[in-house]
Amino acid sequence: MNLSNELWIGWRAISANKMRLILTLLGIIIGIAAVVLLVSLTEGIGSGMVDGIEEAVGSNLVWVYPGAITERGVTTRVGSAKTLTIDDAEAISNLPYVAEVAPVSQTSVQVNAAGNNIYTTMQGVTPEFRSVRSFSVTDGRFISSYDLEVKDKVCVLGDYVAKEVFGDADPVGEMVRVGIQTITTSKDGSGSGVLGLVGLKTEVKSRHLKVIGVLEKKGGGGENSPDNVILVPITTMASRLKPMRTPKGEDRVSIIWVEASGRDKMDAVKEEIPPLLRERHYLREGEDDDFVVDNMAQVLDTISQSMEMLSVLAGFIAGISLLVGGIGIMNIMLVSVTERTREIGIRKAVGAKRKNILSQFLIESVLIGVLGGIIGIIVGWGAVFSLSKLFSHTNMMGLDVPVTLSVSPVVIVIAFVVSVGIGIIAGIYPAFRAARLNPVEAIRYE
Amino acid sequence: MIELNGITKIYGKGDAEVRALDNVNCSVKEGEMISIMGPSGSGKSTLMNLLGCLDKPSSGNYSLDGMETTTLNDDKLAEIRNEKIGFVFQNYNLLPRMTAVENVELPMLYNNMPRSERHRLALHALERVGLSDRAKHAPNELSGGEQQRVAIARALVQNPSIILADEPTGNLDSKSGEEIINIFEELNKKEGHTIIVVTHDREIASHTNRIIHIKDGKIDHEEVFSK
Repeated sequence: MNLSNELWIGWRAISANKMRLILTLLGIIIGIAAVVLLVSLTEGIGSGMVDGIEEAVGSNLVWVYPGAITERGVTTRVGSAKTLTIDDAEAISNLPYVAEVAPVSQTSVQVNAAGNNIYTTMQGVTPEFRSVRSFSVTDGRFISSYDLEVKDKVCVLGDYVAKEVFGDADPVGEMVRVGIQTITTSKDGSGSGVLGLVGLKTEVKSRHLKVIGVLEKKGGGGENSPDNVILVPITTMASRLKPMRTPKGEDRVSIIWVEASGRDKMDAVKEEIPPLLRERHYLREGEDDDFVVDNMAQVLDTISQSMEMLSVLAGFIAGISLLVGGIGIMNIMLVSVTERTREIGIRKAVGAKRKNILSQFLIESVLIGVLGGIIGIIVGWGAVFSLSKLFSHTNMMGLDVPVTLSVSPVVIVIAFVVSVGIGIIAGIYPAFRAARLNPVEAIRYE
Repeated sequence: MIELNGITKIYGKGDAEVRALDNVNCSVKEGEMISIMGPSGSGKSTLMNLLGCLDKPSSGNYSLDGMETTTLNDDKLAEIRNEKIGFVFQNYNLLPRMTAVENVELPMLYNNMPRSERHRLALHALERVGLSDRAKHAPNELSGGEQQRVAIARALVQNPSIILADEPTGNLDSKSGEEIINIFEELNKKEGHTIIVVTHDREIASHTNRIIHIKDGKIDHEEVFSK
């Protein structure tokens, strides 16, 4: 008996009772559709987050920030070392595989204009900052090397700051007033509060800056997004706004962004920075680094780990519905074997062997599995497709995550194989029962 | 062609033991048409199942076409049923979802016959029982007599060594019953088929050459008609 013939006979048997077939199929359809949908969702969001982070931070980025310092056995928190300088950035830029370097000094400021004010982060940057961090300017221009040279009192606003302060009005050409808090040593003891007790006092300096540009919106919005920022030339920051110095009096920076010349060069860049900085910072052997070199690998690892957990969970849920679907097939196959006991007897009487009966019932259950699988894949695909029309972006951890949902061929193959497997597993026991029936008893069965 | 030697069939064990057949010896020659009669519970159905290789005896030997069958496994017995035996049952035992011609094709599904050949032979068998015009009908669209004729077509489609008919007229009115037994007689006389009919109807049995009477699991006596 050839296969297409057996399939046809199997189809006729299972389609004899339409309602029963539909209900049995439903279990598998729901299970397989859940698998396709959940796997595609976790995959889509996972890769979307990776893309979103790359876009928000910049590509092929390694960054260096101050580390902890240990003085007289006391270790301070990471970021408290005051040894990272603009010259360090310059030195890093001469390393191989380094494409561009962008040192940034950072402080918190109050921005006032047009009767509005906002508390935000001011960053002193170089012209390279724009390309390294993949920012683009929607309005006006970015900070130029000329601005740095003349330490011009200009600024570029992040999209969030521009909107909060100026609303819909065009900020380019307008003036903003920034309030910068500084802590200085108080020689005359005129400080107040807790700081005063230790001989320190706070001062708020007020400076006027001209807006020369606005950055393109990048993040998912809100205070934690990369759009809540005001950029100034790093030299202006150092000389006019908030001088930050190392104990030796060099210009200090908060972070150095380093763009590697390729994705595969990131590890190399990450490896070569520490020896350089240790030498520049005169660290002795055995002393801890006073800086931290980091890149997206950690962030991406964390994301892929949590996505993996999510897929395991999703797989578990889908697995349960598939189990229920499989039980449904087995149940209906057992009923079918009982109902068709006499048919089995007749077939055996005219010469059907055990394997013929076994394969007949196995084919029926596999057919149900495959049919449910195919419909389930189509339903799951449809669900993924309509979801992708509804959500093209989502906001996650302050990042604008582009969600590109699609059903990968791997998922389809897996779903198909699983549905065939369920058909076999659910059908094997009923098929064996059918094959083992005694023809004499089976043929008398009423 | 058929040799039964000391055939005994015991159901159950110990005190619950039932001796359905007890040391039965008989033979049937090729081209014979015989009937087996006996009251219910006499063991004639058990004998029928053993002759049809649907069941194995507890002891004794059964040789069919010179082949000893009692040592064969289930699959071998299935092959013998397929090639050498045609069954006709009291309640026709057609598969309800299949057409008449598909029912007749059924035995040939299990010996790898090409589809076209299968179909040709099935139509030919239906022609032999006079049902060519009913080939595409489902069993429930046919009368009892017609259904039994389809069953006969199924039994003879592969030209088996023997046709076993278990109360073939039991569910039919006397006119249809007469038609069926006439078909058997014709198959026996014109085509030389060996036919064994189990019945408790003397009228039907009288159409055969020989009647084997069974009682309490033993052959009670035989009647031979010379025709």
